[in-house]
Amino acid sequence: MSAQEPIPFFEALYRDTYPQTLLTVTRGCSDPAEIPDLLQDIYADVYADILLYGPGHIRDPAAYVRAIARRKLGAWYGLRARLQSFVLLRSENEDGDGYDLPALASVPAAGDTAELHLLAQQVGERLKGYPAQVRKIFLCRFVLDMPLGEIARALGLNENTVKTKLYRTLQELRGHCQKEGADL
Amino acid sequence: MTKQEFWTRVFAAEGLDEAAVRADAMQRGAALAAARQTEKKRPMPARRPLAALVAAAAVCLFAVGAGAAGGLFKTPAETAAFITHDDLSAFEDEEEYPTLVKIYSAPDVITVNEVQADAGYTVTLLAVANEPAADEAGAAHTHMLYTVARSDGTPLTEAEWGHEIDCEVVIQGCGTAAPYRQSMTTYREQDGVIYADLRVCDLYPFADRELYLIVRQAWGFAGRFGYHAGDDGRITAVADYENLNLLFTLPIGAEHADAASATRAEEGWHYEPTAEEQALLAQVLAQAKARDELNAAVAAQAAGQPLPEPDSAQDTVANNPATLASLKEDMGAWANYTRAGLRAAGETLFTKVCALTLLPGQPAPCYWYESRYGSRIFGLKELDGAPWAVVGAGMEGGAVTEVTILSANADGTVTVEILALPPLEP
Repeated sequence: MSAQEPIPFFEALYRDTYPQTLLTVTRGCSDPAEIPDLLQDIYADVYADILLYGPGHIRDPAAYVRAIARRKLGAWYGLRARLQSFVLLRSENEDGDGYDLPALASVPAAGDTAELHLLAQQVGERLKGYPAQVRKIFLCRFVLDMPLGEIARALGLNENTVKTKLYRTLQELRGHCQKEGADL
Repeated sequence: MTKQEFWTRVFAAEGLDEAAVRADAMQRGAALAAARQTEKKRPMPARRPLAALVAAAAVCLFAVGAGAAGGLFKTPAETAAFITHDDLSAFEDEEEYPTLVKIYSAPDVITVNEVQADAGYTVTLLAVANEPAADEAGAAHTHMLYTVARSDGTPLTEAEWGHEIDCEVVIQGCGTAAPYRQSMTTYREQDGVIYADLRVCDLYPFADRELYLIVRQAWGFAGRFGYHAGDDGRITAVADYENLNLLFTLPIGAEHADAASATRAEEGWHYEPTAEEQALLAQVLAQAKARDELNAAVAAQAAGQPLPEPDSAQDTVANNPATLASLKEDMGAWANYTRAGLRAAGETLFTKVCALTLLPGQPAPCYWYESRYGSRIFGLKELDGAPWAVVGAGMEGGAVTEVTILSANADGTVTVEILALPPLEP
């Protein structure tokens, strides 16, 4: 199958650009709950372009997807929302407590996969109640596997703030899960 | 299950599933492509050796340096052929030309060749052309051919261009968030100069208004600081704006104006809500009615007081289910105010009633408005079943100075208000 055929070309492009696009959207969104819709919107546009104009239209897939992502973020949010987001991020000045990161980032306790799936769902539901910024930190740390310093730079936060929010929220989530009889 | 797999599943609870997003994007992308296709599918022409083009360019009487923006090609059609990787000498008949070349070969192409430079970039608007509808069901489009280069001759790569430069059209009086912003750009770099075609909706029916191509160095709202829209909808570039903010007026003759078509186009941007959306609206409105009565009482109490005290009514920003927690945090003491309290305390800077609109490229009908801060598109879900929500807060020195409120109206519209708030005493 030729690499220039639309579907394999798109799938390869999607695979290669997804982490960076997810980060771009995470940084730019007001609410992480909107990330799936934004991602879908971005890649629908990319796929439509590929179908209409062929893979040869895209010389630099990463730059191309990034440009569309920025345009889509522009369409989704007004200046007000973006300013709000920036102000919020820059207004943080909280000192964090030191902690042992590897312990915090440990893999959930081994157990039945179905139980872990259920636990993941419960944690996801619980996490929805946290501020957008906290969810962004979690997404960057655990889905994009970014180091704390990188998260701090990406989200415009103090590294200690990232640590603190991550630590406290993990503690709260862990406490909640223990009440439910699970270990996070 | 690895740590990353576990947390990926956690976020799947919010719908963030890489495979599902890809599948949905492909499904929607295919539908988008079908919708955009107003004629038979345009395959990307096979890449051809550049030698013939370069040789043609070498003898071109109008060839100029890359830093100047005229480009290497004699006619708009030749530039278009370069962009689409086509060698015109390979075609026996103009009828066989690829679509883009044919568009710029038409006798009514408007050759512009206007050069403007700003912030280290030189941009030339080469031509404007009309792409007629392929058939009765299709839609006409307007194309603009332009080049972008760095003024100091430093090569501009496709990636840099994609990151830094954004072009779009504005129709006088239609705002800059209207559906016609939907565009398609095809481009190609040669010798550090970007040659590009911008395809937008049919601008010709609007030719009795001012039509603009704006070229800016930032995406979305940030770029809008470079322009000012007057009360009559005319756009001007802000003179002391530090980044690129060029403004071309498109010279499409007023004789092309077609008021009926223009009205139809504008009407086409509106959309009747579906039964499901109407049901959601009804639910929102029922709550709105009850809460409006409460707000009216609060407003009556607050009337005449320059700075009403935070009220204890339940319908405060802090208790509003549709306002993001982070916004509530930012609102500080203002979060203890109701909508009526905020209105009484603040000064209205902007207000607009928005109707549900079908915007190309948007997954569902949505609302949009254009304020002095730029455009914003939003859906009913932003109200999340509540009759109103605070959706933005401007801050200065750590204090909230402005707030944006969305309120559902009985007729299915949504009112946007931007209020300036005075400093609150500690």
